Amino acid sequence: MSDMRISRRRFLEVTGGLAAVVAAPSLLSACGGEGGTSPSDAASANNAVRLPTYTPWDQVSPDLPATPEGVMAGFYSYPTPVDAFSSPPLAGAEPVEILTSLLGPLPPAAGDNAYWQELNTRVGTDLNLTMTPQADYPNKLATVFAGGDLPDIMLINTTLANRSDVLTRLCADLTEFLSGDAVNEYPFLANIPADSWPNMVYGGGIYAVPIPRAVVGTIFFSRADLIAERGLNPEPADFAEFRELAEGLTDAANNRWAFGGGDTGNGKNVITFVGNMLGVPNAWKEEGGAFTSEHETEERKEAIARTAELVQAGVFHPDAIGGKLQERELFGNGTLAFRSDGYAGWDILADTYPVEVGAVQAPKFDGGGPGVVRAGATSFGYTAFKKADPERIQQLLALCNWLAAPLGTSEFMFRKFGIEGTHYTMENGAPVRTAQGDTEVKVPLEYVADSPHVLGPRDRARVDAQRAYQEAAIPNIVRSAAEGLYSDASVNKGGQLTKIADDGALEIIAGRQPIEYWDTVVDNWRRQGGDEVRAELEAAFAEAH
Amino acid sequence: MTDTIIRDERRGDGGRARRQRMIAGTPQPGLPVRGLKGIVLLIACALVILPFLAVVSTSLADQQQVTEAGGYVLWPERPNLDAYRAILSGGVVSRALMVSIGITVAGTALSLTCVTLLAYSLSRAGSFLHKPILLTVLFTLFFTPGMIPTYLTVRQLGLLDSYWSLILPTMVGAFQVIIMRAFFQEIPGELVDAARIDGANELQILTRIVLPLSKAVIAVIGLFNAVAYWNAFFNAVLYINDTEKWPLQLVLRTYVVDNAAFGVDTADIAGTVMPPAQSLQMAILVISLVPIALVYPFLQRHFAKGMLIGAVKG
Repeated sequence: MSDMRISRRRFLEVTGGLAAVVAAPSLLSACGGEGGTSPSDAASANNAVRLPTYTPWDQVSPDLPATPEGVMAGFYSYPTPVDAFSSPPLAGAEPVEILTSLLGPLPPAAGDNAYWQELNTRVGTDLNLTMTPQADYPNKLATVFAGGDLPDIMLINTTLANRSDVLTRLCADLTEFLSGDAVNEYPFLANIPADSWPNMVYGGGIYAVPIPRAVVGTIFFSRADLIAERGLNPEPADFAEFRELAEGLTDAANNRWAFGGGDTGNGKNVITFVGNMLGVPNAWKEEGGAFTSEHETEERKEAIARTAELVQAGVFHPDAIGGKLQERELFGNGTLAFRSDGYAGWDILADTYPVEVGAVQAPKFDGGGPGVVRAGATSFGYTAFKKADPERIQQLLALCNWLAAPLGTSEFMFRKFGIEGTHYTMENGAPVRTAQGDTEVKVPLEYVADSPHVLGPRDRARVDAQRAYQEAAIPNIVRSAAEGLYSDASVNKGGQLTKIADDGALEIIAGRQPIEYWDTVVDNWRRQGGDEVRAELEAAFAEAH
Repeated sequence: MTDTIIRDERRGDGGRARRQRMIAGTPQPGLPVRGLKGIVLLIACALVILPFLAVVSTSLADQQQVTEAGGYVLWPERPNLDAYRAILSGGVVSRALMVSIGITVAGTALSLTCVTLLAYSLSRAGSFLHKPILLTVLFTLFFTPGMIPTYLTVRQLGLLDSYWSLILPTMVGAFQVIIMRAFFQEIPGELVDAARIDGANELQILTRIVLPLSKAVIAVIGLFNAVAYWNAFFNAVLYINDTEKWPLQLVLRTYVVDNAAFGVDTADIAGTVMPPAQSLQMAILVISLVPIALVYPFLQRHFAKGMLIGAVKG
């Protein structure tokens, strides 16, 4: 019987997901009424909208300033905070209902949470957050849209089906408040780098506020201490040297391996890294209006073939391919010498384990300079607002502005650490959480709006190493040609298409299929929706140019 | 239960007596065979116990040991309760624990009552609207509503943010009704007839005759329900916005579904040293296992019996 219930729940999830996809268009058109835009209108208008002007906030200068290309600002220590607001931004406003994602433990409810109560006081009204664990968030959002009673502010996740329709028909158009210099009304939203805004544009309008993430994306971390211990070259100049490094770090008898299979357990971590040496495009490349997927390129096929050779050479952990390892722990104890992780992983790995974390830049495959670096997603999601009168929208934007106050402001210190003395104390110039702070300051405000990430504040050596990596990597950043272009098929079928490609590559690197099998995989990928995505992107591109 | 009989076996070869140990009528095997059996049983037990031990040990281990072991540890060298302290501080988990216990107890009681009443009436041929009700029950077995229709129904009934939304939608399981109905149908009609001759009405027949004979199936259905209510979190995701009303499994899920599953998103800039993620997750497993583990031994007797019902006639 319990099986029965589980299967029933699974069934609900599956049918529910389908229902959301099927129901959404009719539901949306019902709500949207007249004035819905056709995709071609949308694309041409996308071209017309002026993105918010990027005006870095300069009242506190970082030790290492951010660059317009996307190198993150760096801090060696906590600056003396300044008050960025003289009064609560939403004084006297109606309470704000917010729906967002939860990536950490659940904080105590407002009634038992001194931090949350103080937050409401400082904002000037009650913030009623509905928090949902990240894994369940898409389902929660689908039911909220189906039910029709939208909260004032909601996080739209990147996988939401028919995202363009949802945003343009159910959510408020923010263009007049944010486009061009209008954003200066909200200085901390103007402080969000330009890279994060293009994906907020749908149907010719700005429909969301980004939660900025640095363009540097995923980093190929190494155990710098192990490399030094064995006297190996930490900066391979071509693929052959990279392979030498991997082989030098592998010692099967002592359970030492170069690579795991990545967080997806299919070797994509290494395929991507080798692909960067070969110049594989980031998702899509465009030439004369024609789009080519990374999967269709010879370079990608080559990257898979070379990775399969590395697997054959025995430099992968024996359980890496097709399994799921506790990679962070294995990196921490030296079983794995490399780990591909988000840029925030640098601090997490270096803080958690007593090891020296390094980062490897991909060289060109045959040497002669650096390879490419794939740009990361520049926003965690889309913070959208329920349609409302302009006055209310301005209040909600003022709230997001307050939530985006950067390091150097007292608002930032409160948001991240709570009340000094209660939730944290300053020790040696850095905040240290109290037990109460550990529990209460977990309200997921950073998934409503946030300031751009910075390097540090940490000890100088680490910040410098991170900064040096970014300064070397950022000039080689490649962005997807699909950036800023919208394709329904890409959102709705993206997961399935990725799975087709990943599973196909896994078959090859696991040695179950020859490399020629990749052509079959790509054919299948095109038939299952790849060609459809391409057609939509090309149409959107043609309209925009 | 097993009778050890020592009996004399007199053989025809000169009346030499040989004593052999007999267990329940079967001769006891020799030492090597018994030793081998013992080893096999030990291995089987180890296969069950070691994962449990690893879970409990990892929950007590510190970061250094977890890192050295690369994930799971079999015995904590420097046991500490940091993981449990991190989870239980702030009162969120203990509150959710009370919610879950309440939902499980109330839900199981309601489910058992409704399923029993429905199954019993459907097991009596000729009861009111027998066929249509049975067909309706069967229909729900084969055609389940999707997530969104269910959500809309719950919402229209005004049950959002109410504990009832965690009980009512799953209160009567069609499959349970069918199992129980089949069990009731096996009870000899003569017993019911005899009760009726003695003047018992339907309710008395149910409570005095049928239910006492059905303890096994009630225990089984009850346990299934309790486990299902205890483990349910998805309905709370959809129906409960007020986090004070979240059941334990959903609160614990916020610890398990951490950044590790989605790639790192943000580093904690305060540099707080949290207990190792692995220890936290294992501590969560222990916390969510304990109540079921406490209840199970008391129901296990019925449970095993219930599973055998209908297996052997006689």
